[in-house]
Amino acid sequence: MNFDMLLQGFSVVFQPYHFLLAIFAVLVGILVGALPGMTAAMTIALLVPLTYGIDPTPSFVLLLGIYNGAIYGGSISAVTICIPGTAAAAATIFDGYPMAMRGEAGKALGMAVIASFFGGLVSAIIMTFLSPQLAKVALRFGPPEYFGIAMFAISVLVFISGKSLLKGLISGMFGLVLATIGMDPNSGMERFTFGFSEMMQGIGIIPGCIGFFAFSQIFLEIDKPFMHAVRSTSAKIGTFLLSWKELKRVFPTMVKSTLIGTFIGIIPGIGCETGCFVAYGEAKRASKNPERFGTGILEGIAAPEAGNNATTGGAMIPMLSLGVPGDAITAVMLGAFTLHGLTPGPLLFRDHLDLVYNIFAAMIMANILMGVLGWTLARYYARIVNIPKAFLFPMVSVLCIIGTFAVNLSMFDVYVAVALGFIGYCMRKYEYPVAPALIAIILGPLAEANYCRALMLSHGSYLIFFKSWIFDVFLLMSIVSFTFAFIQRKQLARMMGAGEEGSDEPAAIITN
Amino acid sequence: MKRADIAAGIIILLVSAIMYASLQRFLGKSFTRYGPDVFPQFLTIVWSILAILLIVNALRGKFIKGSEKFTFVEVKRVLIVVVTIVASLVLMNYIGFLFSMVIFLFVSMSYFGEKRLIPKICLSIGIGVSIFLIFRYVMVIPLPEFRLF
Repeated sequence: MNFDMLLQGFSVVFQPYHFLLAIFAVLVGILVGALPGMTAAMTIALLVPLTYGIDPTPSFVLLLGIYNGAIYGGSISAVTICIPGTAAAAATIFDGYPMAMRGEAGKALGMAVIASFFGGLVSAIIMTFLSPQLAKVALRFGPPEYFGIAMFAISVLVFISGKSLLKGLISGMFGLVLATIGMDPNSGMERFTFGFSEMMQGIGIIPGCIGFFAFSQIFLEIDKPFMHAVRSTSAKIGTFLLSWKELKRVFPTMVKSTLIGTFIGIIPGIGCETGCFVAYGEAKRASKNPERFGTGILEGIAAPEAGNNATTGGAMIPMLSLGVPGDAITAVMLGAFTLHGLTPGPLLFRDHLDLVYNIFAAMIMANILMGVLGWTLARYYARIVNIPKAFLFPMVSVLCIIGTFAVNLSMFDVYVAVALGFIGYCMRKYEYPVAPALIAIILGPLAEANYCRALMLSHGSYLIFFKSWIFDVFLLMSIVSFTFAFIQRKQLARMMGAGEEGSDEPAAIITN
Repeated sequence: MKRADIAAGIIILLVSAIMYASLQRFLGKSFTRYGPDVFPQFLTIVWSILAILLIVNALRGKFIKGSEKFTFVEVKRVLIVVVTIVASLVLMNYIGFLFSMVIFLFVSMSYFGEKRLIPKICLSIGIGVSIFLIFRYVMVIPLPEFRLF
């Protein structure tokens, strides 16, 4: 770690041109993240070719600003309309939307900004100081370790299963079944495509997220009696400020979620969506009052938002140090390196150390700007709750349609998203949570591919898994989380009344 | 909710059985022991066990009491919107993204309860054109075009 070079990097990125570019990029990123259907990966993919004509430093200032802004921006629509703007904000709806419905949209958005800023900034600092060292951790991950982390992340779904553990597991299995549609990752043979060539690619993350969360939420809103009101009454937004006591209370959650998100970001192929769910699940597991998660508490927003923004710094680590992208967005950013004739990895640190430190400084600056701009503009974002639903949901539907279409330029994906939306609507009406299904769609291919690869490497011996200490750690964590969830639900059921899994209170649709 | 849980369990068992049967075509066709049928077969078995547990729980009276009523009227409202979306997607292939989305916006705003004509027309055209311009010309995403003549 070279402090002189870092200071030099700051002096470069804080030049007026770079600074204004960063402000523009963060604003665009927040907007892109807030609109369901528009993704950071798509926006960055479209902007990478445009950076051909400009120097590498301003190029990365632009791209990193959009990256960090978009991951935070997803929380805005998650809180205000219960539709995550990005898949990374899917867990934020569990507590963000109930707070908005209680008239505390301002506080929820304020919490999202603070947690996103904290998570992103700390992980950017970790990236700056420990990049080459932490990259070595990523090198230790082989098929058994990847299977371990996928298994752990899927086991976390038991904590986000709403009222019924059994229904959460059924939902998760449904997601894993959906994930088998398409090409087998090991042999390339097609499964369950029913002759449709479009199904060879399987169910993507974007159609899955938009279907299960966006369309299903729109359909749920339709069947509410007040949906047909022309104007919605002015919803109370409330204060954006958190008290010092509240900040002290959520601080440990933010720290833990940041570390979880950074670690998950470091592992190539695991994205910020996993970071937000794992952070939320862990926060709920470790809480003294886990039953309050999903009812609208600050910790339920702090955890996923710190977790997802922390993956941004983590994902940059293997990309810069090894040339291996941490997630889909950094995979697209690799294209920017190639465009400028650069090769990420050890050679980048040797031959272009000044650029590396400029990137470190740009990442830190982007997070600071994201915090400042997010906080300043939160009062305007919060007004989304006052837009009449007769105007809002048709517009959101169009964005979802075009956003899903734009991923693969495939109308089939849109049909899949609508179908999953209807299935998700039926699931949520009958208390089946949709979040486990989505996380299973994301991680199912990873779990299957690495499970089979590990067994092929070991010629069928399951000892390959247990010989890896990383797998053993994840296995232990999975067993602990599963056991804890089981005991917790038994205790809850005993408290609520004998013989029933849930209570007579209105169904917690949001946690489902 | 009891009948719904039993019905869901039965549907899952049927789907699992169909999946398991369709995976038999992979037997002996893979180059390795861990072919495309191994993981899905495991999933269908576990899913079936969970479905049986669900049915047993429902029969024993262990289910969540929900206050939501899933009535035909509600389903009809949702199905109308689904049909509207699908119809607009089909229409898109003939009249292009812009026109089909403007029509969709107008129809859905009307269905969602907006009665004033001028705001509906202005917002449908405004939102539709804005989104079209941003995606077509700023983000350079090729969108379905008008093909009728």
